[in-house]
Amino acid sequence: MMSISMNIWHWTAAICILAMWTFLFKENPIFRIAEHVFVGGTAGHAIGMAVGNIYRYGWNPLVHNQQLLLFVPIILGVLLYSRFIPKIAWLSRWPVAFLVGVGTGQSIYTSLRTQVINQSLGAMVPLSGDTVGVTINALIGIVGLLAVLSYFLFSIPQSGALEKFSRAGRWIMMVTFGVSFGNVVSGRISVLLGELTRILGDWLGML
Amino acid sequence: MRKEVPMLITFVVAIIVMLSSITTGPLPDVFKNHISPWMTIVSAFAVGLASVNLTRVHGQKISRKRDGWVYSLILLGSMFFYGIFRSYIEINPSNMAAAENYALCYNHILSPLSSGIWACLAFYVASSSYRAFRARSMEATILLVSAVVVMLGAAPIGAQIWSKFPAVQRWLMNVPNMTGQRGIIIGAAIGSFVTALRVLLGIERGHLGGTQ
Amino acid sequence: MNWINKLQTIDRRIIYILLLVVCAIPLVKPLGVPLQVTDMTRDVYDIIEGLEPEKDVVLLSFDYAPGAGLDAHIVPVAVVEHLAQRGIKWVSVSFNPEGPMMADLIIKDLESRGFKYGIDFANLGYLAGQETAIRLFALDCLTITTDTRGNKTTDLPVMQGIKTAKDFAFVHQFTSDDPAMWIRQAVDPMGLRYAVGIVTVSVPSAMPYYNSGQIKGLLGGLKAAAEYETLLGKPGRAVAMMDAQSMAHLLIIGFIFLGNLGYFLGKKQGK
Repeated sequence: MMSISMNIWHWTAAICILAMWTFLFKENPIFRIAEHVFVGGTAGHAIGMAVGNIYRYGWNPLVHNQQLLLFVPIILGVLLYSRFIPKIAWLSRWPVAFLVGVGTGQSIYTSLRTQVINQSLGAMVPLSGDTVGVTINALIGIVGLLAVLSYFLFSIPQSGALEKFSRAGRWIMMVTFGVSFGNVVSGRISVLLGELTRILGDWLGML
Repeated sequence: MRKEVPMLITFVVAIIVMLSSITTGPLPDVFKNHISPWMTIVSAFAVGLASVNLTRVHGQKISRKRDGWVYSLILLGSMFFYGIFRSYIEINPSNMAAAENYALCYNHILSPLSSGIWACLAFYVASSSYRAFRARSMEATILLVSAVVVMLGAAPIGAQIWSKFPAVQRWLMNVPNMTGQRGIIIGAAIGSFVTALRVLLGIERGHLGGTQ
Repeated sequence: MNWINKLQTIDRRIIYILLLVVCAIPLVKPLGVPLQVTDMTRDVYDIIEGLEPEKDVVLLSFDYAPGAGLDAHIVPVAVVEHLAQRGIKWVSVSFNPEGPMMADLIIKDLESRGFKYGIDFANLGYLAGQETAIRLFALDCLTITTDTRGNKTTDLPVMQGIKTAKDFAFVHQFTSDDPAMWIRQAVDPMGLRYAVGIVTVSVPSAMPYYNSGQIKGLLGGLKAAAEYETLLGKPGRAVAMMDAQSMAHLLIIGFIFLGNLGYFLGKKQGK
């Protein structure tokens, strides 16, 4: 049984979702309005959150706790906007250099530890197990990993045994991409179901 | 000096951050008390860059009354509405009435717009997999079969069609998929390490921009 | 043959409408197809079952936006329900600007049921800086001086005794992005007990971290949330949606089969 909601906000949400879905048939003014509200609103929300961070972690400690060193990041942050003034656009390289320096320093050590060393350790499992299946899985794990990595050796000519080995790596990656695709389908359907629940449940009262 | 000073900044900051992870002494405190909070503030300023650009581009469109200028007006209106409202709440967090009103606008306008457009992808995935997913070669067939098995194993109906589908799906996820993903993770991490090293040594200067 | 061509050129609008119908009908009239619970989901459930309500506080990191949809949001709803059932206190933080709003949706529901903000849970809000912010917060949780309601973090009863991420009994991130950031910056360096709730799309790429033990439990989207609801003994929205998910999968597989049938028959024709 259908019992349409009398709540204006449920109507608003349903109209917003359906406005976006009109694009499935063709581009139209209703979709364009919804799209522009979405883009503007998301940017506005992000600005608001950024203002909050600057206020809480920059302005307040600077003004109330006299942490004068905080002038440095505030000036660096303002310098980011110098890119819009051609005469002083080169000053925007300084805050970018700072951001890139932090990112670089972080990834040099942590990505090696987490993604290379720990993952390599994870692949080194004992080949003998309780069942033949465990042994086969372990073999696929280690040999497959080497095959996949050999596919990415672009500085060595891929010929002979290496070529055959890297083709096995390619096949394993095809399984990986197939699994990913299956999950993409699942994931997108889940998002659709969430919106359908809002329309059929909250708005039309059918659930 | 216009390139040398930024390169020096990148090098010094990167060294401090890197060494703060692996040493004791003053460097971890320098990271925690200065570099990290500074990063928070500079990142927050960086968020505003996109909005300034949006304002410039759409502002020009409105002032010159180009095609679609009304939509640009709507975009900027939406941006300023949410931006100013949210900024007010961040600076006055104890104003619960304002926070609740903002939550209404966010949860019933912005949130459904956002998830609505992402939900469109479900339709596109359905239509494009029908149109483009063909078993043209051995690799494509492996991809297709894996995808179908995963879709059947992931949904409860799969177990009703063949009781082994969930087990096969789990095996595909835990063994070959995991192996391939691990290889991709390791390869990408080595690549990112090499790029980071190049940035640190000043060989990679793309982030420093053009010829000035 | 015309009909072979037609097999490969069905109008996309027909596909869209069929998909809508096939998803909507099971939502209104569920089929009740039984669900199997996986180890990845059970691992998270067991961790929370093993926590002690009197002394353990859990950290929840809300790092997804509404665009990720119900696939992302339904997982924390199920996990927080479990925490509420067991009386475990929790604190939320976000490294995505829209995360605090998602946490507030759950908090609002709990407050309407009589739970107390500040005592049972708190929302510390958003900290900009991505990976650096994660590391900063993990090293010093009091870096966030006020929560989203303007209360001083040090005054919140739920934050008493919390200085670093190690003081939390368990860290659970909910993200539509890459869990590697938390693993790189906090989990591996500090040895945190960490689980992640991610969108279905990201599950394959998180498997290596689960396999190597860096992630102790993995909740992947709507299906994991349905399994979690089953474990809690409170089948809800997620379980109800699995029937629709099943039908949608069958429809898409059917269309893929039709397209390939048309392709191979056409190829044979061409020869």
